[in-house]
Amino acid sequence: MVEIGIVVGEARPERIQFLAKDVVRVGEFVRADTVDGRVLYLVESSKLESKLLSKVGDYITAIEAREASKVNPRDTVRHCTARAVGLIEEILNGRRVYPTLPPDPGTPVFLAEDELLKRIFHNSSKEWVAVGKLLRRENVTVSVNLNKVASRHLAILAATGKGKSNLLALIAKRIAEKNGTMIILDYHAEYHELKIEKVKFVPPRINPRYLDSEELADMLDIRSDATKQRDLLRKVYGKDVVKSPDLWGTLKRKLESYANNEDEEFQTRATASRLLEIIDRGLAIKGKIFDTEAESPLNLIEPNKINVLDLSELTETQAQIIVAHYLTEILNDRKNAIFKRSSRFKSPVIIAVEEAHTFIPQDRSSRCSDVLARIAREGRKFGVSLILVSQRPCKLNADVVSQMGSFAISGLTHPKDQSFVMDVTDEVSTELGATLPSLNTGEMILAGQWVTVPALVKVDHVEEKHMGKDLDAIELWAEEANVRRKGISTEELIRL
Amino acid sequence: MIIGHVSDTHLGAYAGKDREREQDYYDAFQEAVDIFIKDHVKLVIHSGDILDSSKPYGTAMKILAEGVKRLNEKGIRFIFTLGEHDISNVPSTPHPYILDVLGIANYVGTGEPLVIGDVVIAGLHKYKKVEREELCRKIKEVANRAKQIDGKRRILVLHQGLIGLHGFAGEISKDDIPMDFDYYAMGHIHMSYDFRHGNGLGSYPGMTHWVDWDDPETSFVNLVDLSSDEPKINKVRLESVRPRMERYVKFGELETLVRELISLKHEDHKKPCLLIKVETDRPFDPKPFEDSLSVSYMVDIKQILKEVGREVLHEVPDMDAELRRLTEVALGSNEKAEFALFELLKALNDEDWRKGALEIIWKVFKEGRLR
Repeated sequence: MVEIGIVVGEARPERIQFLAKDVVRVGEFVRADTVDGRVLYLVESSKLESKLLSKVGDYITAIEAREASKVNPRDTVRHCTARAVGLIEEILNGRRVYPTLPPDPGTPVFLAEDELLKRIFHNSSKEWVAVGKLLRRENVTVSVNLNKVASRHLAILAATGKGKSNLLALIAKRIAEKNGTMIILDYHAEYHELKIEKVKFVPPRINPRYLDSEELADMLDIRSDATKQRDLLRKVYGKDVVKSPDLWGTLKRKLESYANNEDEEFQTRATASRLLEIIDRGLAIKGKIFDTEAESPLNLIEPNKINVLDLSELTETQAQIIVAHYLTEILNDRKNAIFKRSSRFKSPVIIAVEEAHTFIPQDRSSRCSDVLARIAREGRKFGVSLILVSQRPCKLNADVVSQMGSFAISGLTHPKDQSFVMDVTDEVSTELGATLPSLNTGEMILAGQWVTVPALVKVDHVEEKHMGKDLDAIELWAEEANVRRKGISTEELIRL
Repeated sequence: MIIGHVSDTHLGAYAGKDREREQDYYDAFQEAVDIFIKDHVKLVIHSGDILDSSKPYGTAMKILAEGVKRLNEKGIRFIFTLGEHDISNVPSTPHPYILDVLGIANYVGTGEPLVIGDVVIAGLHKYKKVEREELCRKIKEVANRAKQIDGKRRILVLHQGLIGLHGFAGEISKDDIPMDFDYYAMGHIHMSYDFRHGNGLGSYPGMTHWVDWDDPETSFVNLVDLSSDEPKINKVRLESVRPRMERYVKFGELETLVRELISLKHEDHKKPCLLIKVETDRPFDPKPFEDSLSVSYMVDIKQILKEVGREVLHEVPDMDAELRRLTEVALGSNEKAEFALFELLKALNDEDWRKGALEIIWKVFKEGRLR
């Protein structure tokens, strides 16, 4: 039991201030007694101040003040604020109960013991999985509750290079260990080298029969302002085409009949010819994506596996359309499962959306906004949950993000992003938010329902994940140059 | 003083594939040796790609050894470097080097200058494009060493392409070669080509017999007169080279062309190689046409499928389909063929084939199949 400070100033039940004897870092856990019982506090800010030095106005005085400050230990003040995390007794029972009263002024503040923190952060029951260590206590393992991820959604919001995809890969690995079903919507082909067990790489496939004419137009890259082409496509893309065994053939024949019909207006004939060209080109380039025989995208996705859906070769709109179809099918399938109808996924499905701002933008609606919003709202009932991953939280649809039950946050520098995060989760306070930019790679604030108490965590590094880190150009150049040099020289080949 | 210069003899090309064509390269080499002997050259320089393969068949080595021996008997030194065809891709002694070991020829690819009479000959073996830096450094070194030897005519022997001369075959630029030599005896480029370099002359004699249809039809060896201030190159055409013809027709006109070609009279000593490119909608069997032409030509019919615009030389035969067809012909019905190939043959391959096969046949008999 080390006393590290004394409660001073105005104390409130949820937040205390204390003067510390020594260095106390942000993210550290301390405890103090209140009338309600012993309370755990998370240090959110730590200020170091010299009264003498803070008031000087010129250099000479500063030098004098420095000397005076050196010999006067009273002058250096370590001022900390800490937020109540909950009554320790209750936390150990898995509940978060806040104190109703602050500690009395003058109450000693103690460093929370490692043993206590271990009991709080590490839980060996099966829904808990380890993801890292407490940032300020390297011997305290932090576990998260996967059940909460699978029901209450998770948002990973962090700047580029702060370890978003590492955390997602880690979660994927843990889910795989628990035989969970997960789909990663891999917008930048970041996970194609994920080398964990039970990973399945799914090429995107869509049955054009399930698309309406507008979606088909988008998938074929017909410009949105090409209204004539879209109108004609709508006209010819009727039931007869959709139901024809040879969908493309029938569609093209119908267009040809327009293109070759002398009675049609010249403009219509030209549009039809152009559409034919677009379809041929689209099939040549994107032929693999269209599968007129596919019954449902569900068949491509395997239960109890980590399914990585590679969307990297699609345009934004195309990716949105595919995602919309996949997610709608999955949500419907899970509804069937809950209502005891035949279904593919008998157990919950977790959907990780990389670059989530592409799929649920704040300012407009995308082709898949609706289904993502629906999953965010009602997915919990049906066992479909989201993991939203984004480096620009403020560009995410706030309604959807507010449904997220858990957060992992790091390195957000933009004030808008910071205030967005504080708006949507009450667990990241202004004080803690201020430390966000100073977090290093892999250091994250974990908050929300998936952790017992919010904490600054050093997330474990996933070896199986190779992508996402920046290319080592220097090394790669050296390697290539060496390869050239290393090949056996002609001189060595000639043995005289 | 006259020296002989030859290059890219590719001895052993077509070995094991076509005896007549294989002989063409031997003929050309022997003809070159005859020319050198007849013209009383002082020495012969071979600029590399002596052999077609770094793992040659014995005949190629025999022809090479015989030729060099004949030159040697007339007091003509055979001096050579190595081309990429002579150098194997595992560290090993290149076959032509055996001539040096036997003492009937001199390898100059190491860069060590060789003095024969009043001529200094220095050379390097082939360097790959990626070794350009090393090559340039070596050439300068070789030039410096050759310069040390006074009062002689200097010859540089290289097996490298000059950049810009022939598509991608170039490794060095002319500027990389010091101008300290009187004659630059080059190899590697298959066409005959001369160039001026400083006060000297450079020359690719070209290959002694064409290999690809892109190669020049005629071949030469160089007789280089070094007695005057400026070297003079006399190109002697090799007569033994097989003539060749190329025709392009649509399938419909093929028969007429074939008749026309058969009626042509050839004075040549060798049957010409004939390449007919036929534009066609679907693949056809070229054999009847080839057979009727084969009396006077060595025929190759290339089919160019018009629709897909690609060339089909020989269709890859579908062995399984052919086996099935033949089985059907032999057994008389498709069902029997299927039974034989897919059921019985499988059983016969098993260890306990007697039992298995009998069981299957009995089963088929009972079921009344294949009656």
